[in-house]
Amino acid sequence: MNYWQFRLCLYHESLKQWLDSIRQMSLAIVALFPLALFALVFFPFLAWGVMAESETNNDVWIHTMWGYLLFVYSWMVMQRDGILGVKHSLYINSLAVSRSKKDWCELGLILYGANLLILGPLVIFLLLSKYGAGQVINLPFGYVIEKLAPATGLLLLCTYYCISAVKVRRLPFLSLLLLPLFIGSWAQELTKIQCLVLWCVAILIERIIPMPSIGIGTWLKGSYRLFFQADMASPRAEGLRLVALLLMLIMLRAMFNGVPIEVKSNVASFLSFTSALLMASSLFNTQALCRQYQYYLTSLPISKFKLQIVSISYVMLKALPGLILIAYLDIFETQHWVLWGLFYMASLLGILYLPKWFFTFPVISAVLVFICT
Amino acid sequence: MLEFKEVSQQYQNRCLFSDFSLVIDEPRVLISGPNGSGKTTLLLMAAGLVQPDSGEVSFKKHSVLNPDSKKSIGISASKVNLPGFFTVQELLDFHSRQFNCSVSEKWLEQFSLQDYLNTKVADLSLGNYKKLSLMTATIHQPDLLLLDEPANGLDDKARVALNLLLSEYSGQVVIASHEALAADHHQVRHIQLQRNTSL
Repeated sequence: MNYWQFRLCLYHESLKQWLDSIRQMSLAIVALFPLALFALVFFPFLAWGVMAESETNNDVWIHTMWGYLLFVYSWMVMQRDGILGVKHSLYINSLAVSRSKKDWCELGLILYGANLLILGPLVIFLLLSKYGAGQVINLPFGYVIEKLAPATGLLLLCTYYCISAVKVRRLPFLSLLLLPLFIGSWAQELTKIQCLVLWCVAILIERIIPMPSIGIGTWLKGSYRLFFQADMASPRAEGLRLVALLLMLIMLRAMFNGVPIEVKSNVASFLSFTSALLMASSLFNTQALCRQYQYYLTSLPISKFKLQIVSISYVMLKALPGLILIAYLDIFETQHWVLWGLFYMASLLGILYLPKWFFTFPVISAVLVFICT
Repeated sequence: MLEFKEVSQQYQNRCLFSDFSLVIDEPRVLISGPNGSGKTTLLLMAAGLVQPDSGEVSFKKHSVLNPDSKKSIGISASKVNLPGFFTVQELLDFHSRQFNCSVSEKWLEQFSLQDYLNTKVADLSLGNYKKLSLMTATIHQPDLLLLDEPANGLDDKARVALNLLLSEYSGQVVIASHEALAADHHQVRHIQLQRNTSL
């Protein structure tokens, strides 16, 4: 077994573990929304066409690009430990392998891990470049560049996020969160090239300026501090939840703008259901934490009931940023907020009393709402 | 007075205790026995961390399962995982706040933990983790102190500190260990557990 095969072996080993979780999650998604998985699988194929086309409406282009890059980044972050062989890093470092060989192997694993997500933009770029090269004699140079810019930008940004997800610890808080969130309102006034330049500037800034740290000082006390610090110490679960919510909002918002006014309410109801389910699932994490430190927490003079109340109120507080985001995007009307509250409470009850089948609670409440209305 | 009344307990389909009754009122008690005889489980039950399948465990006539009784019980055992995401300082702050008491600078110094205040609990060595566990068990000066293999992983200096702590401690101390109780105390009761249950 050579070095590359060894690293590939480590990567496959780490994949096995989280593929099981993904399989379980996919089963749950299919059980809930039979078409959702197909939508997820076909999302990249649809997105490539939208993003590579220079005639696409800027608002749709920015949001599709945001969703796609966010998806690519999260996908690579999830595979980071496997690609770098984090679990066996001491052994890997003890091997007499040159730095460059190690780097090439890791680059190979990044491409292997990103797979279609990076190969798709590459193929599109090559096809358009070939077409552009044939046209450059007949058409103005600026026109050809303008036509090629979206596909080039997509390929470059995609490559950057694939590598930075694995190699850079710093989060792309500006380019993948704040910029696309706020650029939407004036995207129509910019050209695609200007948007791409802006995106690159955001990347440069976030590489230089570190992400503002969320220091909690000493004001947060007691059990709330325990839960909060646990989240801060391993933010992956909450980060993925936020990414999932963002992806959901991006996709549904794009759909929201394209559907007739009478269907909009149904789209918003669907969003109220899925976002409530997603945000309430955070209670799984606090429950798992309580289980992990069960003996220690039991040794404290706090009753189980009080700890449960604190954990639920903490999960509710954590839902606030997501709610503010939904309110900012102006998707919900009063009835959708009420529905969100209902589905959220039903999901929390499900997680508390029937964790394996927690989604039956919000599904039953959704069916009841459907029957009543 | 710590009392086990007709306690039965199974662990991984194996009967550890069956109708087990024991009264402990001596100030110092050493529980020993072969591996798997239930020493740690006995301590966990005494601290109210594990509820017996049947029977009752009480301290000073109050059930140890009652959250209020936790104020008068302290436990240090490797099975009691301390939150690894806290730094030592943060854990001590959190813990002392729960018990409404303050951290003893003296014991912090005796156990040489001052240099590790900013270290994450998960990153501590076995010995330092044990010292921190002893600190959290004793921080609120409980009337009943339960220690599972307290000398495990401790260096010579920390062992001296542990012996000092045990000899100065005013409450009742129950230790589960393979080693003899080094602390100089006139009345040490020795309880020997056998595999499959009893004394």
